[in-house]
Amino acid sequence: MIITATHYLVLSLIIFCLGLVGVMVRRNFITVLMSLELMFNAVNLNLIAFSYRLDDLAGQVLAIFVITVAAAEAAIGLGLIIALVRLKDTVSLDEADVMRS
Amino acid sequence: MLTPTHADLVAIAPEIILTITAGLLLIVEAFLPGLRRHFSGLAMVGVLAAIWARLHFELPGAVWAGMMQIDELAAFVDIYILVAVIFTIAMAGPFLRRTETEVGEFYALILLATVGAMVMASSVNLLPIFLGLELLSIPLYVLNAFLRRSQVSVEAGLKYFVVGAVASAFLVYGIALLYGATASTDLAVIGSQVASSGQLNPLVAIGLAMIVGGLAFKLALVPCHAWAPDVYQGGPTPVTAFLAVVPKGAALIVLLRLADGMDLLHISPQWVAAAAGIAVASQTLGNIVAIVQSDVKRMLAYSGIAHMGYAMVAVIVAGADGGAAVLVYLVAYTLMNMGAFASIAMLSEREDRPHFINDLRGQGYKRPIVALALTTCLFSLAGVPPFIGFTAKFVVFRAAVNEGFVWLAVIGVVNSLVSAFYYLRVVYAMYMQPLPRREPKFQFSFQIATAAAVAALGVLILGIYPTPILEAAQTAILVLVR
Repeated sequence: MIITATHYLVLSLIIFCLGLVGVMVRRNFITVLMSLELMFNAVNLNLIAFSYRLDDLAGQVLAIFVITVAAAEAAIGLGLIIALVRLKDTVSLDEADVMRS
Repeated sequence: MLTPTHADLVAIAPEIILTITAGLLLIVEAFLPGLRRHFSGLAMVGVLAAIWARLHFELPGAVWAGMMQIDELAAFVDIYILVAVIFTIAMAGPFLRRTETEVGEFYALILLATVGAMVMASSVNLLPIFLGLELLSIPLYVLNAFLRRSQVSVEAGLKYFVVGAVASAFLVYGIALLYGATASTDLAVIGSQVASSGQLNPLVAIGLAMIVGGLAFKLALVPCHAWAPDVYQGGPTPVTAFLAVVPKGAALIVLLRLADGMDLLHISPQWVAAAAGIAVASQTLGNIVAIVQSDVKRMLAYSGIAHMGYAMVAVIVAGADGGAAVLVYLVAYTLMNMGAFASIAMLSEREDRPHFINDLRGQGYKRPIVALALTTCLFSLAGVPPFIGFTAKFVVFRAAVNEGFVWLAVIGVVNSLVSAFYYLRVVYAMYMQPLPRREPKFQFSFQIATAAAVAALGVLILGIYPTPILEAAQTAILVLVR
């Protein structure tokens, strides 16, 4: 079987959906962060597959920017975890839910 | 190798000024913390210099290899964003002193988020739009959790972070699909390809849906609105005011550029149906749920959902009429919300407690100026003439009727009537009910009161005499539509 760009697109869609499900069902904030990372990296896979198929470099440039942004978001996410741990001594998102009326 | 030209650098002079100010604030914070009292002044000077730069230099049009379009539209949006930031900073100074969190980072983050919003609104390429969105969102995650000893604030930051990151992932996935379908990230190229093909092919349609979904999170449109009430309630009030206004403005402009560039109104009945559904659902849900809220900030969150529903009607209409209506609506929405949040920033006792409407009982006589400013803004939010909220709604609904969307206009008007109920409930509490037995201690702040009064005056004056705003919006939108 020849692996084409389309296979990568399907794989990327699967990874993106896995990440999305992870964000929605997991209550541990660190797992949520990892799921977010999965979503962003699915996008990168997608971009690079398209870049290969279109024979165009813009997609790879975009992927490098996405990697940078994902790193920045992860840094902020970890900072928020530390704030939460100092306050409540937990990384569970369920514990951080006092406002629900 | 592409080197920036002189015109490229001059075109983003306001952004450069704001970034330098932000850096300066961080350095001064690190080495001369004794100067903290002057930080809000320094940030204000930076914003005023940015406004001056935007008005002073001529607008060059396409710069940065065609990635940004600095024209009348960009100038209009930039100045509206910067005015919103002035209000935010004016509110933030006394607020931070009261909560003992006045540090340089706060202003630096606000200014960086502003740069992000300005980049997003003036970009015509999906890459800088994405980067602008992130530069706008990442500081806001931190700002929402800024009162890090307060549980509600950290919680607001966490919720905004998770939802915002998912929205970003959706947006960038949509960007990847659009890029794959059209081999370009340039909005003009994508737009002309799609418009000339006369229909949305599946890849473009899914990509567009994901981008709209990502932006709908920022706009707090139904069904992506669930974060808004908690984040509005938990975040520090000046940040909430910024969050309610600036990201929504930038996101609406991007949405408008997409809808207009692809001529979605004429080529895709599915888009019209989906967007109209979102608009109606946002208006109805926002207004109905707002009725049962007992916290003013939560109420304003639902009111914001409803207002973005009205603005969505103008985005559907697009073209010269709809575009101008979006801009007018943004100006009105900014002034009304800034006035309302400034008043609430003052009429609050403790940040980690809810801001109950009941706590405002009798304040109409105790704090006449702020109460009057809040009343003006609430009347305007309800769309009562002669305030600017009425003008804005009128422009939006007129554009909808001219394009044949009479039913959208009718639903909008009915929703405005419903909304009057919960806005006026606050006014009723302030003027018709006696002070509670345990009187809440609200600290008076001249600066916040001035901000509220100026916003309320703007709401009144521009409501009676809206010509300058209408004309500016019409000139600005001419550069967008063909």
